[in-house]
Amino acid sequence: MRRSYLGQWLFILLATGSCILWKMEGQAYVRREYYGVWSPKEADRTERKFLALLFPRITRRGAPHTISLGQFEAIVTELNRNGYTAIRLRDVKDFYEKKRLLPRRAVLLTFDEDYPKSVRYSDKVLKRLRMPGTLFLNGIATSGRVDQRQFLSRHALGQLVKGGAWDFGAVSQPHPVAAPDLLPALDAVLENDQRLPSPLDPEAHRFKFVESEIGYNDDKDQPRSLKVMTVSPSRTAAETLRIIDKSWPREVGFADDFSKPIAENWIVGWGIVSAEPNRLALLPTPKQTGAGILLRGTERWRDVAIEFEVKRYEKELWAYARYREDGGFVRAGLRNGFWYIEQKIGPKHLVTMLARAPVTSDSMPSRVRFVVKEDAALLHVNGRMLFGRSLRVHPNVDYGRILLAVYDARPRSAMGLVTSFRADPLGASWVALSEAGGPLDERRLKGLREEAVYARAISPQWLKIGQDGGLAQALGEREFLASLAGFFRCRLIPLVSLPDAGTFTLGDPRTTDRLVARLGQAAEGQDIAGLNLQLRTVDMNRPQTIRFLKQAHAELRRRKRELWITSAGPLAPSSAMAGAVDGVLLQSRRNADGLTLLEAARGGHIQ
Amino acid sequence: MTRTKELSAIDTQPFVRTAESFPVTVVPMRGPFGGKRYRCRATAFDESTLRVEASEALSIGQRVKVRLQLPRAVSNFFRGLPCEFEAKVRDVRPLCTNGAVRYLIVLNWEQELTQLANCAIRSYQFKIGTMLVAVLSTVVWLKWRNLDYFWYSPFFYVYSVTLLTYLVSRFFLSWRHKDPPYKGLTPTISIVISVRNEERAIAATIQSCYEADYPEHKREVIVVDDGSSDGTPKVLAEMRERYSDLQVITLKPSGKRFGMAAGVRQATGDIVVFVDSDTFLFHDALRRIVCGFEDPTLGASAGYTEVENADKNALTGLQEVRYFVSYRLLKSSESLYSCVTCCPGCLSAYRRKYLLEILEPWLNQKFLGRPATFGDDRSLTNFILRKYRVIYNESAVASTIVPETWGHYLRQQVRWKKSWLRETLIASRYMHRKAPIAAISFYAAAGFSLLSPAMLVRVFYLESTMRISESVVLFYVFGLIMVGLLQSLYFLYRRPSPHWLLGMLWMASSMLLTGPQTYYAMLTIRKNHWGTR
Repeated sequence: MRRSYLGQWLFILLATGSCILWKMEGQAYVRREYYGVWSPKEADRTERKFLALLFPRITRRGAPHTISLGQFEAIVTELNRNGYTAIRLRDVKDFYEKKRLLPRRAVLLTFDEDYPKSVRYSDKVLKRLRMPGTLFLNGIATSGRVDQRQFLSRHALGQLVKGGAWDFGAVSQPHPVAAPDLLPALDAVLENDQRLPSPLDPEAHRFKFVESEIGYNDDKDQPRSLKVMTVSPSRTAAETLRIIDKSWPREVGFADDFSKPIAENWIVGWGIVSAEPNRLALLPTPKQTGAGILLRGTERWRDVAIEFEVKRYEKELWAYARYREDGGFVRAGLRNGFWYIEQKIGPKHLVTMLARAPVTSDSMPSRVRFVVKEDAALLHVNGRMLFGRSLRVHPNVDYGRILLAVYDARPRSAMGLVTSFRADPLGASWVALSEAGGPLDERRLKGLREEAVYARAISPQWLKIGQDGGLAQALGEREFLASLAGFFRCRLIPLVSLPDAGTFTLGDPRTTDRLVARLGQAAEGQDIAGLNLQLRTVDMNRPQTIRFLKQAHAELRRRKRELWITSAGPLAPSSAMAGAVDGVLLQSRRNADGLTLLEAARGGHIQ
Repeated sequence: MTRTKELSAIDTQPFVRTAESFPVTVVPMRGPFGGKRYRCRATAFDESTLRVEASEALSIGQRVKVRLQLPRAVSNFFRGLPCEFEAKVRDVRPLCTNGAVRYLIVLNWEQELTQLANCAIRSYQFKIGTMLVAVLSTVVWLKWRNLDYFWYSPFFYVYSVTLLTYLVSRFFLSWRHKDPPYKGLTPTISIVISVRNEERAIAATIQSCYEADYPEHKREVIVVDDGSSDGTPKVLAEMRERYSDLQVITLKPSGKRFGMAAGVRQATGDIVVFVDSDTFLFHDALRRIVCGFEDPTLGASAGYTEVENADKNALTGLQEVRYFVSYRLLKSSESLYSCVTCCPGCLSAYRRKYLLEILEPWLNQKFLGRPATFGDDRSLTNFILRKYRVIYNESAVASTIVPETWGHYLRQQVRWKKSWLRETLIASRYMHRKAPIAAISFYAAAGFSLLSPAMLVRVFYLESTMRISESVVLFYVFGLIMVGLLQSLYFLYRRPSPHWLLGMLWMASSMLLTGPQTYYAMLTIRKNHWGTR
């Protein structure tokens, strides 16, 4: 061989070899080593919730039913910028199987079916942002046959596995069932990777994602039916991002006067829903028997007050609280001239009526207030409480969405017009009745009734600790308040005030022991749920106070009572407070009727 | 454009008044008969004038457009190119022939005819070249997009991509091919014509050898009659009387190879030029075929062969495209690395000294235990190529008569396939020692020829088993059409001929008829019978 040809041959062989090596190993190596997925630290794993997003097929310019590469890039880049942390499928599995916590604002990015170009485009973006992705494979994709080239080839799938940035799952929705002879191929490709069990393996179905309008999941969800939100190609990237932000559980109330079109706060479930001008119209489509609209971010709401104004309705109009995905709910609304409260406690149960009252002829338009508080439901229409009492809700119906809907047995006959809507989650608000507010006259009583609707507990100032450590009882309006609390499903927890110099008294062990014993006797003697000890902020973190609280808490717990404290000023609880009380209350506001409203403190170790 | 000029310089030798009769259309540009078409017959033309005979007269000084097809005297390569040149009527004279009045019209070209022709060629080449580039780009683009599916069938895609790379590279390599420069070299040559039963053509062949431009004292013509049983000996005797130095050797029927060997032994020239008995040399073919032999490493040179009877029928037209692609695309590319694998018997030149070195082994060549009796040209080239350079010289042109019936054509193709199989196997043992591009091209081409029928079967198999809506056969056929169109356009680019579309028919016949013949040839390779016809 001529020498010059030897050089040329070497060059050709080297170039060809390099190309093959690059395609077989190099690309995956670079992806793994230089564009590896960013993983959150253990210390940052503090959450028990995550969002799952399902991206449809991605195309360069956005063909019908697909999202464009630009749209996808904008969404993912903005998520990254807004502090979202992309998690892996294995994080989700660890969360449910090993209780390993998730990072803040965790989001699982999933991709429906393994369209080669779609995967290539998404991988390009995720690579830049160092985010992991989860690919829902079609079982027949890895057959490696040229007649299945609309799906990933074995090589491409192997490269994704080697790259380490992708997890794999079975398709989320029904698809053509993989032919049994092709399934071993799927296993063969991923034989070194345990993330994707064989579709023949029943274990594969332990984790299943179901397409939904919401993608929120937490520890209350079943791994077999995790929700994944489909990113709609018809929405802009900005709209999608707003929807994603709204998909987390709402912590504050929501009000809508329907002066603008339905935005990302609502999810149109079925039927025709129109929100202009200044009214929400619910109409079934010609072939449907109902229409419904859901309030986004209320999947985990438990205690809630829904207020809305019904202008007109035909057949049935309902406001649902605690609308669960398994079919359970509690609802209030109108049906053929009657107000109802009904509930359904599970998928295999029928709807049961809790109460019914006729609609008076002059009651339209009606202002409706539907409150579901712990195990009680209350309905007010035009300021009047219906049914004369709160109604007991089954414990199975413990949380769920807010939903407005109309129904009828026949298509197109139902209709509802709602002119305003408001929904507020009920926190742990208490009503404190202090002596300073004056006697419980008609005005105060009216205010008390109004606040008791929303309150969890009523806290009358029945007990007072003297300077000598003695406990004075003044059970004013006891019978009435106990009745009122029962009526509105509020607990009765009297307020106990310490004198200004009380902390000095607490320094004496003998006095403290005596006081604790008296408090216990007083709590047990009355039909109350516990005691609410009012402390000054300056006294709260003193050692003798903590010691006293722990002692009192233990005594009350022995008597199956709770111990709460109310801070007279800004709260600064110390870690030593943990376990010393059942909760801390803060003064939130004082209403015009002289009632002090307390709110349970949120956050911190005593939450 | 550089290439056009170069070719034109070769083609358009300064010519004097040429008496050649061909039809022209004369269209007056203005006047009462402006736009009217006069169908005339050109009788003579030169650089500045054209004489036509017409049934009607034109006014002297009238400006006209002359529509004609370029005659061979103006451009051999682009003969047949339809052109329209402006001219002016210089003179009109009445002619009386057999009682009918006709007019002899003398037209003056606006510019020199060579310049006008060059302009027309450039314009034509630009249009066809643009189409060619567009089709080439489309094919490459489609294949590039198709690469997404590489890993679904790596073997198929390696084949497919390599085939396209091979094809596209032929265009670029042949583009870079240049004939060895003409330095006026005139070594002594011996023209060897092996003939058997060729009474119709042999006289014209011998005549073209003597009429070709080459110094008389440096040329000898040797005709070896391989036991002809028709009137060939009589024709040869007549030619012997006409050309006194013509040497005729008469043998018993023993095969073309022995005839060629006898000619070589008889030859005294430094260069032996083999010419088939039905091939006719162009005027400067001999001067051109010896170009490059000043380099002692050059062992052989192949000339270009046109199809003499291209206009006979579709099959001969098809073979014109086939010959064109085979020479101008494939041999040009091989020649870039001096690795032309077959110097065709129609017109090829060998250094006699090297021929004598390998004459005996070539003559006694055996394959699978049997004497090799076909593919003499390819076999001879193979022997030479093993040690020396072999080039292609496209300016050395001859024309040959090709089969006019499908049966004849298919039998010829089987013989060629057999020789190709045998010689490819032999050449593959040393080809890797040649330039890498040439070696890779050789092995790839061999692979394509062997695999293409199998691929066709595979496509139909896939079509029947596919579960997706796309039709593989349609894609395959579309690909074939594009490749066929590519070759046809390349032919059209270089040769304005109505036969260009027959390139598509050639592509179809290659896939359906001559392609599968490879396997038939493989199975019957041990069947020996007499040589080329």
